[in-house]
Amino acid sequence: MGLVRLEGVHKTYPRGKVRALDGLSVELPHGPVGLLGPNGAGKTTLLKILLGLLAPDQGVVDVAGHSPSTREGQLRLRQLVGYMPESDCLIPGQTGVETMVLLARLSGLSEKDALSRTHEVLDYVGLEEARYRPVEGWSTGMKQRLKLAQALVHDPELVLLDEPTNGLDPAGRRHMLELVADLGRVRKKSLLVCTHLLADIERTCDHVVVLSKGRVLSSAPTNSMIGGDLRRVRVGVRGDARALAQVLERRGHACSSLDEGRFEVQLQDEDADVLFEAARDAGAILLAVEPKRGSLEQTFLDALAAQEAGA
Amino acid sequence: MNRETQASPTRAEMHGGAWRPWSGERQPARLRAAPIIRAGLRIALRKKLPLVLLFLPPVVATIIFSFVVYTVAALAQGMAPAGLGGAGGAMGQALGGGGGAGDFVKQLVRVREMIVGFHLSTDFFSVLLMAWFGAGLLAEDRKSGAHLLYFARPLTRFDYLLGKFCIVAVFGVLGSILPGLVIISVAVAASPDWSFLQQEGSVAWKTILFGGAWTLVVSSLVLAVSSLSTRKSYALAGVFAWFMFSGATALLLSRLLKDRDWLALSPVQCGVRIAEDLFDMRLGVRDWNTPLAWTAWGLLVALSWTVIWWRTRRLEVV
Repeated sequence: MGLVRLEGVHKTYPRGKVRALDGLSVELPHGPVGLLGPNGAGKTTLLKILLGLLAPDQGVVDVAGHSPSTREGQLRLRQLVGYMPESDCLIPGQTGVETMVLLARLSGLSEKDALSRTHEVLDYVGLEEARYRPVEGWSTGMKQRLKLAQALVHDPELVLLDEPTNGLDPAGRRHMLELVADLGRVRKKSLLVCTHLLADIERTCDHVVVLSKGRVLSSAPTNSMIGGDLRRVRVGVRGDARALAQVLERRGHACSSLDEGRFEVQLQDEDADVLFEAARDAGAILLAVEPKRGSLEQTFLDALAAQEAGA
Repeated sequence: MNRETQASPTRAEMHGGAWRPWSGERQPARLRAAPIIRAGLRIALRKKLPLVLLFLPPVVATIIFSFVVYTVAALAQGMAPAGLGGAGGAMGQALGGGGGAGDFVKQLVRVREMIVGFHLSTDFFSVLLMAWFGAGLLAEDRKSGAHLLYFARPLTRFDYLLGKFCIVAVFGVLGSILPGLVIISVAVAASPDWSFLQQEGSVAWKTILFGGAWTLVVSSLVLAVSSLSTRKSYALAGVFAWFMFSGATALLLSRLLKDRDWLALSPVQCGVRIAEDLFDMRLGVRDWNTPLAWTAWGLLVALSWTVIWWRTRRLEVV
């Protein structure tokens, strides 16, 4: 069973009567999960519900056995969830350690635990040297890592990361992605990474949920979403590529993108031996055979297009 | 909640930091606002120069009034402090001492008057203190996005506002109630046979009541203005503008319409009237009714908290 389960969740904002979530049902597995969706898809509303800041109008929400339908449940939920906001946020006048200790105390840690956890987590995210400096003077990358650290300080069951690489330079972005990937894939923390950068999700998440108009368009392991069609392969050839393509087409396999000894073949099944047989018959040597990899972006756009067509 | 522990920390290969799962129990404090109060006071007390400048006047006033009260109380038992020339000396005569036993009660009443006078003369400084340390509490949180961090924790809006209110109120207590209690303690210690405590003991709780009410009014107003502002400087200007504008308007309307009830528009004027009534004194010719002054304070507090509650609804947004 997944860590987070939503079933038939509806949420409508009274002002403007905007239907943010429209019968959303999804089960998020343990581990790193990416959340994708265009603007207005309902991502922020979903995060608010998972944080216990909003109660759904209808439906079932279960996060590690707790529901945000009551005030008590909402507060309990916030003990179990860590949140890294997208926008800039810091507590003015405080050092990194003071910020972390305060937030750890608010999450329910004792004074002693809060202090020790603060140092452990700041060390983990690489802020050990800056910890006693006021956060106002920190760089964007350091502030972003502090935001991650405060979300982890109480070691929550679920960590919500909203655009974790927002505003970072390439080095900072790389560091942040390494941390997120380490947390999710090595430390096995349950993460929900909300971003519009599909490459970040490919790099850090094992599972992807695509939202649109308050509904789940798709929810599947990342590999299956970007794995593409194994019957479509790219072939590199030494020798007469054109002759090989002709042989393959005579045998019913469509070829395309012929150029400089490389082309794509749409095989009739996933058995690539036909390529080697055809190469032998055409007197060519195969230098490379690789399945054409799909991209998360394409999958995302396809899902949106399919929804539009359905509508 | 007991959670799985890991025997030793594992090493994150890419960034050299160690990740150590936590195995303790998460149990929010009974008073969830307590960490906010502590953190807020720590930040405030870190700024030494404002502390010195803003606390200096109340401290000096406390010392001077304590000395005068001590002198008057000592005169009440016919023992002027050394150096003042005794009850019959120049200073003793100037302070009205040296009389017989019949003047004893009058002297105690004079001590009470001095305490009330102290309250009214230091109100301005307590406003300064509360405004300086409270003006940024909500405005700066909004500006820096701190509310995103607070409300992602098991913290209600009530807890958050209680924490912020207590921070401001601490400065109100330090600037208003505490100095009053110090002066009362001096009067009690200096009066013969604890006579001040026996005759005028109610001054102590009246000081707490008046100082508490004043702190509530000013703290609420400061937080309300802060919740409407985007910067501490704007909030600070807003608080002083409120006091100046309400004071001027109250005075103008009361003069123009020849009705002293209009003075209730000014929180400071209300404070003077309430103090006179509470301490059973008449310092001036303010003959407008006291319930109106209490009502005006109450309405100001209610209005302030309505504004705060409305404005902080927006803070609970991710």
